[in-house]
Amino acid sequence: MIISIIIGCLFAGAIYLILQRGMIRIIAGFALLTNAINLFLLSSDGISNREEPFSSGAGIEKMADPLPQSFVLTAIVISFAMTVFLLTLSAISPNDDTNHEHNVAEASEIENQERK
Amino acid sequence: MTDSLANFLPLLVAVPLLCAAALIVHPKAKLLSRVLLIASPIFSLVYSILLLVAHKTTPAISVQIGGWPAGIAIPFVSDTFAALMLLTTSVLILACAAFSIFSKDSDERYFGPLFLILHSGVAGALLTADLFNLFVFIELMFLPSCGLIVMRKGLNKLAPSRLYVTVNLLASSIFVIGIALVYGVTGTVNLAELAGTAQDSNLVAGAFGVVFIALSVKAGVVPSHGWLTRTYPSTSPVVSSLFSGLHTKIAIVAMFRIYSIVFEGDQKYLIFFTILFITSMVVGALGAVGENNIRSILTFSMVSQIGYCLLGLALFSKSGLAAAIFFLVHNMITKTSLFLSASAIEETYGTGKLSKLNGLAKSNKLAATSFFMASMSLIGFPPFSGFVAKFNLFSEAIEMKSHVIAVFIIFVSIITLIYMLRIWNKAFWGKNSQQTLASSDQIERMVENKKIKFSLITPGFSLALLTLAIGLAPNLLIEITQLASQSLIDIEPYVKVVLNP
Repeated sequence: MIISIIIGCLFAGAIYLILQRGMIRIIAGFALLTNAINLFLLSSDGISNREEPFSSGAGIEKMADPLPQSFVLTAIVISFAMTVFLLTLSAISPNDDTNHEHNVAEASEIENQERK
Repeated sequence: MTDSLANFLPLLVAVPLLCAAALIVHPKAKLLSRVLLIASPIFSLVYSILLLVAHKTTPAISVQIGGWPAGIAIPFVSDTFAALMLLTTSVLILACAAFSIFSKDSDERYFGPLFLILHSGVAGALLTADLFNLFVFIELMFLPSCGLIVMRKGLNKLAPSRLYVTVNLLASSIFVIGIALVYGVTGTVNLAELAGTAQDSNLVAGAFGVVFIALSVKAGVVPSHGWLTRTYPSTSPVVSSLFSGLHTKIAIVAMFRIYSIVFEGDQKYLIFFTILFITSMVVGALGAVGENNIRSILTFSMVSQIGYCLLGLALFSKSGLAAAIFFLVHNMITKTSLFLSASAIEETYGTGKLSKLNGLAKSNKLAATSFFMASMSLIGFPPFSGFVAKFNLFSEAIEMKSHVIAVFIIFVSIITLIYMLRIWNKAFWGKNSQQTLASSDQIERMVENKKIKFSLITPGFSLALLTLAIGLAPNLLIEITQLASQSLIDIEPYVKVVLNP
């Protein structure tokens, strides 16, 4: 029960933040979103079994399912890398998306000419 | 022979990864980078041909990674469909690698490693039979793409790459939610164990619905096509050629695979697909008419063609799927050829704007021929592969009594003709480019080097020749696509090799 409420709150916050303009808010939204998803993944096999999966000698009715845990581990690594990448993108570009409507074709055009 | 082919399937992922590792260790070895960029796709090209030959007798082969027992291990499976897609993607990667070497993009630091990691992600996504592993390989394609998309110097194109990264990250997140739901409902993510489950249980179908939403965002199906049309034109030309052949198409392949195995081609959802894909075809084509830049037009046209490729799902039957797979192969080759020709133009003239290009047909005969052949193929004129592909789809639609689909196949082809003619009229015909361009000071500098180099046009031209060859002798490919659709309809061999190897 508690975990579903927490996941719900995290999702709500994430969606609110992602819908804002401005890169930093979007990144914060994604941080919340990935946390919500990780909890969601973790609870996909129930959370009542809490014994160590291996080496503890706990019976199969008590031990936690190791598969969602390994899913979460992978998802955490990927989301961490992406957060860092997004932060870099927001830090190094000159204009924030909030005040500048970008014409893609124009930008590529200008840049092509600079290159020559 | 077949056994050892099965056992070495992981090499298709490992070889590009190892090549990438070698290039990261030696970042300044330009020759090494060129050699590996060519050698790695040639390896998977040869391997996939061997696989196709083997699949004539054995419908599916598999390997359990790490030698774990079946059901626990991550399985890699190859059937005719996977092998055919592997072959096509290898050809495209080879062409793009050649272009990047000629255009000196490959000399940029980390271009080689990122390119090769993308290559290995493609191979893994085509071969894996595990849903979570599919997610990992799609991420493995997505992460190097983030690097490739910001590769060019200058900061003004970072805004589109933000869009690219955030939308794709969101789609990946939705994918993981779908996987969690699937695991929660069924307790497994092995596609073979999930075979047919969505047909029996609405819960599983709902969980896979979330996966489908994520995949259709990645594929750029309308209404989630906006990111595609805004980001692809702003990347460096060779990168957009590479992406056009791989990214969206891998999502399409995954949709084919999941729908055929987990849903077993359930008829009751086909009406949604029909509506969605026809909308894609129309919206993409109409969007293309309104654009003024060669690559923007081609990107919108991609959205329209994605609708065509996916029509096979809406016409789920053995011959319908065969027609769709044929179309998919044709489209990957043709679209990449067009993108590569457009890239050669942009590399040379520094612009893809229709208003600034003129008379290319006079000054660059080979580039014009290449672009002309690929456009004709895209529109669907004989004797190119596009004619056979569209004809097959059309006659399938008539046979399945889906007259609406048949009408739209023709209607959208006409719009395709309109926007391709616009490119042709504005960029290729008219006065020689030199006279028109010389009027503007800014562009004068670029005109000095006005002929497109022969080497730059060869990759696109070879692909254009390939679509001509397929159009002239389609029987071989038709035969292979029938085997491939057989492997999607009759999933028993697939399930059997995964669960009882």
